Amino acid sequence: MKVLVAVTEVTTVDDEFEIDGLAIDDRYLGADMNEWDEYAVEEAVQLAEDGVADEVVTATVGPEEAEETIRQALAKGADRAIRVWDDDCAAADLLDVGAKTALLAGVVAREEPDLVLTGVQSGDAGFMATGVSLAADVGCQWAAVVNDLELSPEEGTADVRRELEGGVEELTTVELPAVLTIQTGINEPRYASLRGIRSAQSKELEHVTPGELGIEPATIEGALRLIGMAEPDVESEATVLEGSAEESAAELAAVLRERGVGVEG
Amino acid sequence: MSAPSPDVLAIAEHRRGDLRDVSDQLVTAGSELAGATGGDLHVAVVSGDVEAFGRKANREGVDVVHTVADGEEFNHDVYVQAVEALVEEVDPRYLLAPNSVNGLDYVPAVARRLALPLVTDVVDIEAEPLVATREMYGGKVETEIEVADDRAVLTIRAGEWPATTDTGDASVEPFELEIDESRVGSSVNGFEEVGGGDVDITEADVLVSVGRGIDDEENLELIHDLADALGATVSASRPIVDAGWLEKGRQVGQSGKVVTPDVYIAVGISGAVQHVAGMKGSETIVAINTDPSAPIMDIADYAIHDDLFEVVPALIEEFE
Amino acid sequence: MAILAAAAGSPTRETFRGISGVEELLFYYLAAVAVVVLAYGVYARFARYAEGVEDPIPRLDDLGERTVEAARIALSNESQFNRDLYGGLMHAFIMWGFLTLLIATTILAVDLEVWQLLLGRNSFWVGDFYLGYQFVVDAMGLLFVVGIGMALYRRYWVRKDRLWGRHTSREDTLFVWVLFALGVGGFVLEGLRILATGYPPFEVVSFVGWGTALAFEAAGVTPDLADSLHWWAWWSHSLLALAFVAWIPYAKPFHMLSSFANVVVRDEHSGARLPGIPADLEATSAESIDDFTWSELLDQDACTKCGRCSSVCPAKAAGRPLDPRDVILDLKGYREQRADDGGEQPIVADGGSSVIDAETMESCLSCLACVDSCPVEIDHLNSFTRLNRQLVDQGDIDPGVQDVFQNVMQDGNTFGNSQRSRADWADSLEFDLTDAREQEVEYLWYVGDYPSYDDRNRKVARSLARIFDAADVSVGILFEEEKYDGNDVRRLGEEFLFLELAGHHVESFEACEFETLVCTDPHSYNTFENEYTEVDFATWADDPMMPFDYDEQWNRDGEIEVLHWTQAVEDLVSEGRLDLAGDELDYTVTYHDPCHLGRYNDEYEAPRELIRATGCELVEMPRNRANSFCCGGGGGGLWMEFDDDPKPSEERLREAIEDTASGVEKFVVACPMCTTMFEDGRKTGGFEEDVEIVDVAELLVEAIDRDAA
Repeated sequence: MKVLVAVTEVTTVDDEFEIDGLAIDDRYLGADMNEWDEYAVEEAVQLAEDGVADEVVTATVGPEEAEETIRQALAKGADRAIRVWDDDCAAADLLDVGAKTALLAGVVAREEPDLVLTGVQSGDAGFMATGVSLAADVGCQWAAVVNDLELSPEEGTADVRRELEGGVEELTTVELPAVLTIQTGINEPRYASLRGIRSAQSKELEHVTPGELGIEPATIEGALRLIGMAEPDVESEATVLEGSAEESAAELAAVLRERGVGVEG
Repeated sequence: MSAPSPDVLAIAEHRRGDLRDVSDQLVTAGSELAGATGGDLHVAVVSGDVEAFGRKANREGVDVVHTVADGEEFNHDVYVQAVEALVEEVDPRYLLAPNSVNGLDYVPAVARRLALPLVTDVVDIEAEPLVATREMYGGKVETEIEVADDRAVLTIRAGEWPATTDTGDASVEPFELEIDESRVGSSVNGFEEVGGGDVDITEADVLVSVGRGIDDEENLELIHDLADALGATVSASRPIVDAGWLEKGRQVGQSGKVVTPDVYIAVGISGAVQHVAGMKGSETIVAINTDPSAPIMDIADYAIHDDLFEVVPALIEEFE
Repeated sequence: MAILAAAAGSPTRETFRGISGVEELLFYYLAAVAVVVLAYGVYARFARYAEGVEDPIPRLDDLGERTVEAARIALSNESQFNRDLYGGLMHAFIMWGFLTLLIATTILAVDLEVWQLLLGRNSFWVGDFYLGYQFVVDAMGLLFVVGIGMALYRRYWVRKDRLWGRHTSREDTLFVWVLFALGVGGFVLEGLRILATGYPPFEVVSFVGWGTALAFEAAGVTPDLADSLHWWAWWSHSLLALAFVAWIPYAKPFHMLSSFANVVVRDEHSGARLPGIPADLEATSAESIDDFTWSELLDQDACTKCGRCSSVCPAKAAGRPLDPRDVILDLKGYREQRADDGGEQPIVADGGSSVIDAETMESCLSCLACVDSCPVEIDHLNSFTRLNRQLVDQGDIDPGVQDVFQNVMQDGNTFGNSQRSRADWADSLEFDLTDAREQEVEYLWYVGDYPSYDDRNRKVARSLARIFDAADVSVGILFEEEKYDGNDVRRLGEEFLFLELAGHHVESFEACEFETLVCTDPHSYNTFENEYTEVDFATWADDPMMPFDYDEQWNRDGEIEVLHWTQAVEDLVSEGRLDLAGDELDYTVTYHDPCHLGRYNDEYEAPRELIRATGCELVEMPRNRANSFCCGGGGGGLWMEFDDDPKPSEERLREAIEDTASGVEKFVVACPMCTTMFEDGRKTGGFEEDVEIVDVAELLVEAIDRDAA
């Protein structure tokens, strides 16, 4: 079984930052492997360790700098990696779900994996939609927000648990091939040591352009335009609620109701 | 594709026999949007007890309720087919759905199949032209997204719009649909209450978090009562979890989960570095602790320097 | 032959009294067998060490000097006396008694086999020499038996906790009882002989044997009976002795050789200076027991299970699953079992299938108490670091620590904050700090992560800045070029991250003009002083991922002085540059020795001098200086959460309040990690009313301000 893991490098922002036009000033930005994808990578690597997966390939839409993150996935045990990018991708101010779907669908068409894993969402844009969108595009099954996975390759199915709101899990069986979006907590992601990252230099990391995958520039541009960015209202210093326990509780109740807590909906 | 109608189609959400609260919020967002486009608001309920759901979805501002009777629980393959057919029928300018775990399990597929632009997790909408507000970087910034298309699919975040609870006068229309079973490749086998065992505290809007100050396992009852009264989820700091009083899944902190709820109520938590790392991103932090110099006070927005065993019962009283 | 001497009337006795010629031959045959078995066993043991990987730390240089020093350490029993007078006396009695008996037997053998048999001379074991010999042997033999008695009392009556562990086994029982039987048996034999030979008057020098004879007689043993019993006693004593000799290399008695050897090859800087790693990316750390160095294997065999390390381990005291002795012995047990049945097991992993569990290693605070307390110089931390490195290679890392590693990798500091804001702590100072990158300074001040980013410790950094300012010192900092020092990530096993940080810093240091490197944090001080200087950066020159361009060994000649700030400021105070009268404050305080300043680097007095310079009365906790008890923050403890009961910080504060001269108002620290841990422990342990946590620098600033006011 071949497993493809869609891994994205996310932009991280310092606690204190400044917005410059439609973006956060570069000085306050960092990069990291998307937290949810770490769980997806771990799940794939465990499948390989358990002998279920023969090959784990990662696919990333991202610039050359993202290769640092990709090497982490390789260090953790992925066999090889594919990175999709070109100047058109760099020029788009917002790679929307449609664009990412098309690019990843191009990779899926080439690799023909039996299972695609990716994180529930990215930590930066947080659209939470690429996985399911990808499944619809390539015409396979899917499950979103998976926190437990049992594969039955002989039967061609995957039994998953989907983590619904409010402490309820849905037990679902989907046919393979499928795209599963992986929730944090499904496993304990391992650490990619610097030795491992160095050793991963020898693993294949292929760069392909959208053109090579047959993707039109217009698809990459998409329909969404970022037109504004602002900081939400900031937190204040602690307000001490004084008085007896009853008084302070009453004051707190008012504060909480203001924030919609306990208000019957 | 020709220009769509000015209508708005909103897909209600239900689970295990209940229409979920977010559906009423969806109606509010939908009617605001329909007001701006000058179109009708269509609400659809798919699967389950559609008659009851249809009646319940008939809220003020809703013009038509479509009911699709097929199966009991949510199945994304059924939803994709039903919503696709409804879109064809209604030809809406905007398709709305909750940004819930189930919403995210079919809406992106619908958007992709119909080649519609998708904006998820929307917290505010301006129409004509459509500008959706959504957060980025884990809530550090709010962005405004313009959609350069005359149609769009939007999923809205729960709790951002007030619920519409008044009954409306919509016509309830059964929508006849033959589900193509060959396109159903998934089956829901059941549900499991994880009794908090695997509750995702990262998804909770309100957390009542308990720490060492609770002293004894028996006293946890008090915390559960408070959470019930507030409609909140119970979380904890490490010592409570290590003591086996609560499941690991409820632990907030560096070695537990990082949470960013709207309201975080820290009860009897001193706020060790490792704990703070897991919750400092919460929007409003309330600390109840006898110790005014506990580190939790440094990051709290509201603080009560008093005995939790007096404050918490009083607070429960307030909400009962 | 001996008979001749006896016939001549000079005091002596028969070695083989009542033993026939055939029996004597049998004895020699058995003795030869015993010696062969001993020699083979010893050879096999040392051959196994020789198979071990080469040790990166030089341990066999100046062997002569090392042996002399080891002999001094062993003969003085100084390590056994450390924190344990009873144990020291016990071991000294046994060891000195044993050695004396060994030498005495050797003298006898030389007399019999060489002097008389080979050289055909008359025995020298006669007359005054014989009398002196008998007296010394009886006296030291008595001491030996007393020592063994003390050991038995402690082990079986007191049942001293640390003597009983998971690895306590029959060999421990057998060892102590065999020694007891040998000691007592010798006197029984002697007593029977004296009784049987009618109390030769000169034998009164064998006073214990004489007394034994009298006791036998009083118990009704006739000289004839004694004579016939003597044969039985002689043989059983001899057989037991020969069996013991043969047994030595196969069990606990081997410590007489292995522990001594371990002391010979000891590393004086053990733990403070961890061994490096090979440049080969394929090299493994602890994938198999074959990855261990010969010295680490010898460590395992040197262990006598005395449990001193376990008894001082703060992680064990907090209820964590670490027992330093068990780790060493588990490794030994696995090695021996694998040699027997070939069964392979992972050395360290998460989940219980391995020799050592990951959580055991996560528990370690790298406080060096185990290493310090070990009487036989076991380098626990070297083995632990090897295991930690293996965990890193496997990716089995605690999520909290993973975050820290990521933060350091991506941001340059453990907090994951922006490097840009690294010097923000100084914003509220009334003076500007010099940028050492732009201006020559006397002191380059490495501020450190916690003083730069943690609010509580920022106050300490500002206090120190004010002290430097008050003393009018030329000092500068590196601003955002200063990153995390790497000391603790190295101890957690992420060696490459340490190397990246070390390379970055030495490159930065080289680009600045300064004389002395001063550190706020003892952890930084330790790694700069002991470890940065050991890295041969040329090894990594070809590594394209190393983010520095430096290929030498930094500060090899010690041209740059590296100091903890208390050492630097102590100099300033003694030069009178801080203008303290010495009566500014009158608090009663106690001082907590940080592991990395005290045990790691033997600096106990500088902080104490500074405290006294403020006028404070300094009272000592029971565990002070080298016996200090870790705050719980070392070895990554600061970044992990444990279900401690009590937390090390709580236990230490309790000691300061309950076990120390009453009225301790302030608990003085000299390490940012300690500050953080104790501020936390003070709250969680409920000590807020009792004591305040202050850094030495804060105390000094208070004194300076008192003067200014």
